[in-house]
Amino acid sequence: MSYRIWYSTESFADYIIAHTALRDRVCVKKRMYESDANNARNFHTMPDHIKKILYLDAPDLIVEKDTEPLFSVEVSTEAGTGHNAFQRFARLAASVENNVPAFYIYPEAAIITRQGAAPKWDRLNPLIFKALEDVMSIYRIPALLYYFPSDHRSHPEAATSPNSRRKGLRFDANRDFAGSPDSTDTEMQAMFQAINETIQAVEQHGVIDGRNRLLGKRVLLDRRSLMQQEYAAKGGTLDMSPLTATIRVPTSYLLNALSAYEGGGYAVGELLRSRPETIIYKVDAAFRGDPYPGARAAIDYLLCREGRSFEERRYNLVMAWGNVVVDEALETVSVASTKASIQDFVSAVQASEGKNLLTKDHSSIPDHEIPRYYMQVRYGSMFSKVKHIRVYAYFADAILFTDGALWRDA
Amino acid sequence: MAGRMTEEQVTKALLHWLEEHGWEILCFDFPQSGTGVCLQPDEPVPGSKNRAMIIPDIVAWKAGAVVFFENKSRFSLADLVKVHSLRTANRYIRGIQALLNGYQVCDIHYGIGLFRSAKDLAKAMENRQMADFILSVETDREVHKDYDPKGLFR
Repeated sequence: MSYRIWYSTESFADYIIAHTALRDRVCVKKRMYESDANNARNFHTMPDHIKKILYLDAPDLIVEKDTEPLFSVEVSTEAGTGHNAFQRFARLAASVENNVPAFYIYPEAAIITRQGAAPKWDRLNPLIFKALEDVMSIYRIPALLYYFPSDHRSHPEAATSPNSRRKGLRFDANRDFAGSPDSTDTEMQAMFQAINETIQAVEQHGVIDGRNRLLGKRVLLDRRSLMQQEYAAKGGTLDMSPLTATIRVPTSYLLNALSAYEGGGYAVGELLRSRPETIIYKVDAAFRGDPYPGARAAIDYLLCREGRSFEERRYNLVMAWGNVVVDEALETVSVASTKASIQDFVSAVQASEGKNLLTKDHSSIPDHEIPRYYMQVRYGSMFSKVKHIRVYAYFADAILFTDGALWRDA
Repeated sequence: MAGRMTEEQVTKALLHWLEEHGWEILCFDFPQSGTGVCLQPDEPVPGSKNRAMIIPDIVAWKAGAVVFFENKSRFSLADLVKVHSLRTANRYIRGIQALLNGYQVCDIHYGIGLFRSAKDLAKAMENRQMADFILSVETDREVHKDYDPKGLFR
């Protein structure tokens, strides 16, 4: 049986192969190209089923068997406070939305040294566990978190950590796996066991049936329970970032705000009107990407989603770039900002579009660009826009700026 | 392993080689590894806090000597310029001091590691005066000390 391992770092691919049942299988390693936006030369050569997992953002590793993706793995070494815990969330969502189990390795805490202060452990925002639980409940596909090995529990005083130079994290001693988590740690051993269960299930029942059975497997079931316990034990509530940056308003307020763009026979379409209430995610910052795309995705699962597609939401999901002013008298909302303009969004789209081939004459397209041209004919600029634009456009029913708005009709 | 080595493979081969020769690895980085240590300039650069930030590809220590590596799959003049700037401009003193905290340091040396091909090596050697050392790596992980006038890797 042949497995293909798509990787962004070869060390991590070697690490997963060496520590799981994959070591006894025939494996072919292939480098993964993340998007047409950041690798126009190679992205179009990726198989179509892998492109679909990459459409929002790329995980660190995807394992497939006979052209069916089996699971993805994402590794982070960042301190997961506040919004940061969700920075990679869109990658997990893209994997699970394609029915591909996702394993997420994230430090329980990482040492941060701020100027003029003693080093301290910055702890993971426990709301990540609730977001992953909600994703699993909706898709019935595993989205499991394992702690990146660290000295957090053995050395609560950050200054005493023997790995303080490496944020208190413990990396594998084998240089062939440079940058990978310590494989002897119990968390990594637990993840290897879950990966082995996944491989066994798909070899026994076929890829699709095997993946669907995974959440009933004891090893994965126990992990899911442990994540729920961690959410409670670490004081997780819905009153944490990024949910503290959201407000809920009657949808009529949103529609009144958007009525400024109606007229000449045009009226805002049925999708927004179909939901009585709207969640607005407020970002009072200059228009940009991380950590907001991932936080945006997480808010969808934490507050809005009731089904597998964005159409199945209890509440509209709106992003506002600025402070949201709710006018109860006029029953409307407005956005105040000196930092972000709708032109920032439009300029980012234009910059991506400038690299596309669709407006070129045949004579000006080099032969080696023809497959990329043909991909764009099929998918338009789906893979060609920068990540944050792709994620915002996918998850937000509307985006409000102080000087303009974007919205879906259906 | 066949063909040109990636930057990741060059860096891992150098890590192995340095450790075999008694060097202690203080930090390392290669694309997508997320393992590097960021050095901010002593004087902030207007506009962006990360614009002038650097992440060394390898920092290693041995008996009071410290070596900083910039590694590439192929020769990069920009890397040599960066190395030269580190040697001469002293813009990252505070970050480097923090990184080397606890180590007895006599000298710091800056150089490059690259995949060994005749063409790339020739270009690197033409510009060798910009670095303290140049090491190249073959696909079988053999490391060559192409330029080591101070005898750092004897």
